[in-house]
Amino acid sequence: MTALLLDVRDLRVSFPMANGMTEAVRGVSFSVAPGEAIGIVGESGSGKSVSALAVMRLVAQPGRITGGEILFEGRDLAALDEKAMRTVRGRHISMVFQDPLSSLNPAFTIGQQLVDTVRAHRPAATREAARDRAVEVLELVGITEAGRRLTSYPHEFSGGMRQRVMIALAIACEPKLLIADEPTTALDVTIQAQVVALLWQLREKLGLSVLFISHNLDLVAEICDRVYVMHTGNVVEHGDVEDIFLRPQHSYTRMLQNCIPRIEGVQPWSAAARSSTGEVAP
Amino acid sequence: MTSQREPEILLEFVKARKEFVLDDGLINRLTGKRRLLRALDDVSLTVRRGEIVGLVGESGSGKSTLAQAAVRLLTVDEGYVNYRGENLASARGRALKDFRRSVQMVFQDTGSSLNPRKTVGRALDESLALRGLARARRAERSNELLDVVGLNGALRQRYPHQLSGGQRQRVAIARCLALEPEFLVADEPVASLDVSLQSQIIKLLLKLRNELGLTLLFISHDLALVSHISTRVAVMHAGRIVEEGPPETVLRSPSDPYTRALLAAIPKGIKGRRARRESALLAVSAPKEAAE
Amino acid sequence: MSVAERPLAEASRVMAALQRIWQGARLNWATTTGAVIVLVAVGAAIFAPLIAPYDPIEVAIENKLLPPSAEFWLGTDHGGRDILSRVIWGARASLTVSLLAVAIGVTGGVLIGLFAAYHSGSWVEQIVMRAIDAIASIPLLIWAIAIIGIVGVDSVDIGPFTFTNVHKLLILIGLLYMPTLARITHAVAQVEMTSDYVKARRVQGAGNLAIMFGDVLPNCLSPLIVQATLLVAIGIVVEASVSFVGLGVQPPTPSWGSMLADARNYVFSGEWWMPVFPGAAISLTVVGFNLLGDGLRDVLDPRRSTGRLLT
Repeated sequence: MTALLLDVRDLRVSFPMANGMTEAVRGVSFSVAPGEAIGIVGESGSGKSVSALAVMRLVAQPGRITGGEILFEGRDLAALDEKAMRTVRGRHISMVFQDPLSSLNPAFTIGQQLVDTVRAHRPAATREAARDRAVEVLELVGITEAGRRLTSYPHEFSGGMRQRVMIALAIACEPKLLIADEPTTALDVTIQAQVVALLWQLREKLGLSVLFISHNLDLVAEICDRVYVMHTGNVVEHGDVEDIFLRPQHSYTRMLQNCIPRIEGVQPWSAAARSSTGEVAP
Repeated sequence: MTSQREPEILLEFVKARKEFVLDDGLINRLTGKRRLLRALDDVSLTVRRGEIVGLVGESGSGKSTLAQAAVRLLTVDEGYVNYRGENLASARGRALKDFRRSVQMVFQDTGSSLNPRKTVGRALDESLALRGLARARRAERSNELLDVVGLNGALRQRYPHQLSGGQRQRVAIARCLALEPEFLVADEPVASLDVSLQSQIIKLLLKLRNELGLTLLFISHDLALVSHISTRVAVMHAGRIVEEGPPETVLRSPSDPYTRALLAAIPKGIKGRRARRESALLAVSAPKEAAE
Repeated sequence: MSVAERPLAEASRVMAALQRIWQGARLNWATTTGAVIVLVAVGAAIFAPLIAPYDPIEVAIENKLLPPSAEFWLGTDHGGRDILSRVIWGARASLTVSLLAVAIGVTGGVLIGLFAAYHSGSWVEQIVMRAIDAIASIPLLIWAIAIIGIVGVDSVDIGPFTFTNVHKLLILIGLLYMPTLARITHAVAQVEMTSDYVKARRVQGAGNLAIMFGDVLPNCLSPLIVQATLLVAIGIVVEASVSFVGLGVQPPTPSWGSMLADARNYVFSGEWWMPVFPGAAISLTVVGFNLLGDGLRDVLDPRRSTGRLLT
C-alpha cells in the first residue's frame, strides 16, 4: 500500500469565546493518497474550512489546534514551529481560497507576486529563472499572452481569471498537495466549470493531489475520488464518491442530497430523487 | 389561444434600457473617457398575475438592475417599466404609494437587508405603520406575521445578528408581508443560505404564493432551482433576455447558445464524473480556453 | 400586549439595557474606570455648592499658600482660597464648556453630514463638504483666542439673550467641532445609504427623512460617540488653555486653566500643590472621557454580544 501523502488523525481545533472554548473541529480524521482528489463537503459551520486551514497551520488566532496529528509524508505538521512550517507552505502544500479578489495583493502586479513566491522557496533562483517559471505556470493555467500579463494588476482580471492566477501562484513551486477551499463558490457557474476542468487537467498533468472543500455535493462528486461529509465539527460519513452519492448512509448526507435542486433532465440516482420544493400550482 | 381571458399583466418591461457611467469624474467627463455600461439592453418582460417568473442570470447579466427597476429603486433611461398599466417613472403621490404597497422585495444578503440596530419587533412595527395599521394593533399583527413565516413571536425582541441566516430571511419576508403586497420580487433570496435552508425558504415562498395569491418574480443564478419552481423561465445575459419559455422547453430544447452553455456548465455529480472520465480516456482535446 | 402591560415592557427594556451596560462594565475595567472618573467630574460640577468645603471665591489672605493639611486637603492658593473647593467648582467651567461645545458640534455636524450624504453625488454635496474643509482648516485654539481677543471678554447682549464669555467660548469651540463630526457622519452615512436595509425601507415606501434619521443615523452613532468623547477631552484642554491666557473664564470664578495660570508664579518656589492639583484634574478627566468613549462605543453596538472574544 502506498504511503499516504496526508494523514490527519483525530484533529481538534478550538476557539475561545466569551463563555469558554468552543470546538470547531471535534476529532476529525481524513487522508489523501498521492494523486488522489479528496472532497470535504459540508455546510457553513461544519468545520470544513477550519480543518483545511489547520493543515496549513493557518487557523486564525486565538484559535488553536488542541488535539490530533497532521501527518504529511510522515511528518507531524501540528508539532512544527512556524519557521519549519513556512518551508512547507507553498512549497509542499499549497492553498487556493474562495475569494480571489482578497487573496491577491491589489498593490502588486501578478508578475511580482509570482516571482516573489518562486524566490521565497528557491532563494537561489535568478530573477530571470523566476520570471520564466511565472510565465510557464500562467500558461499552464490557461492564461494567454502570459508574458504580457505579468505586468497586470489583479483588478484588471475578471473573477475567473483571478482564480486561475491564484492557482498559478499555488502550483508555482510544484507542491504535492493543493488544498482548494470553496474555490468556485464566488464564481459564475460557467466559469466554475472552467476552473474545475483546469483543476482536473492539472491533476493529470502534474500528478497533483487535491483536497477540495465545498458545500456543493454535485461539484465534489464530479472531480473527487473519495468524499468526507462534515457536520458541526465531525465527519459523519466518508467513502468512495459513488457510494456517498448513490448510497448515502447517514441521514445528514441524505438530507444534503435531497435538498439540491437538480435539472429534471439529469436524474439524480439516489432513491429520494426529487428535490423537496413542493408542488407548483398551475 | 384559450377562450378564457388571460390573467392581468402586473409588471411589464417594454424595451427597457439602463446605462451606468463608469469612471465618472470631471476630467473624464471633459476628455470623453467615461465608459458606459449597458446593464439593461432593450429588455422586454411581462409578468401576469399568479405567475412565478424565474429570471436566470449570472453576475453582470443585469438581473439585479432589472430587479431594482421592477421595484422602482431606479428608473430606466429608455423604454418603460409599467405596473398594472401605470408607468413607474412618472408615478406620483397616490399612485406611487399604492405601488409601494403592492410590490415588495426580498433581498439576497440576509445580513444587510435588516437594519442591525433595530429589533425584529421594531422593524415589523415600522412596516405596519407604513401600512397604516393603528399602533395598538401592531404587536398582535407582527406576531401573526411571524407565525405565518414559521417563527416564534418571542423573536421580536431579538436583533438581526442574534438570528440565523434562515431566520433573518424569514423576518425579511414577514416584513414584506406586512404591507400586504400582491407582487413579490425575490432577488437571489436563498443564495446566501445553506442548501438545507434553501429548500425551506423556497417552500415558504411557494406556500405564501398559494395561500395569499402572490405573484412572484424569482431571480437567481441557479437554473436548476428556478426551473423547479417557475411557471415561466427567462434567461438573461449581458443585459438582454436571450431565452424565455416554460421550464421544460428552456431545459430540454434551449434555442440560445448561452442557455446551452449554462446547462452544460452545471455540475452533474456522478454522471458528470463518469463523462469526464470517458472523455479523458478518449483523449478528447483539452477544454476550451477562457473566452474572457 | 394590553395597555397595562406596556409600561412594564418599557421598564424591562430599560432594565435590560442597563444590565447590558453593567455587564459590559464588569468585563471591561478600562471602561468602568473611565465611567467612574466622568461620574466624579460631573458630580463635582453639579453638586459643587453642596460638597465643596469652603467658598471658592472669598479671599482670606491669612491662609495664603498653605500646604495640604487636615484643614485644607489640597492646600490653599495665593488668595488663601481652598484649592479643593476651587477644583470642585472648576469642574463646572470645564465641563460646561466642553460638553455644551460638543453638543453644538454634534447637532450641527450631524445635520450637515446627513444633508451632504443625502445629496451624495451632486454639486450640493461638493459645496457643503468643501465649506466644511475650509472650517476644518482653522486651528481651534488660535481661533478661540483670536476671536475673544478681538471681541473682548465682556458679556454680549444680543436681543433678549446675554452671552457671557463662557458662552462665547463654547459656541466658538462648537463651531469648529462641526467639520470632524460632519465628515464622520457624511462618510458613514454615504456607505449606509447603499445598504440593503435602506433599499428595503425605500421599497416599503418610507419617507427620506424617516430613513435618514431613523435608519442611517443610528448606524453612524458608533464612530460619532467615540469622536464626541475625544472632543470633550479636547474641549477641556482648550478651555483650560484659553483661561490660562486670561481670555476664558474670568477671575474670580475658578477654572482649572486659570488656576494653572495663577500657579505660574509659584511653580519653582515650592508651592507644588498649586499647579499639581488642577493639572491632575485636567489630565484625569481627559483620560476618563477617552476611556468611557471607547467603552460606550462597544457597549452600544448591538452586534457586540456575538463572537466577540474576551479582551
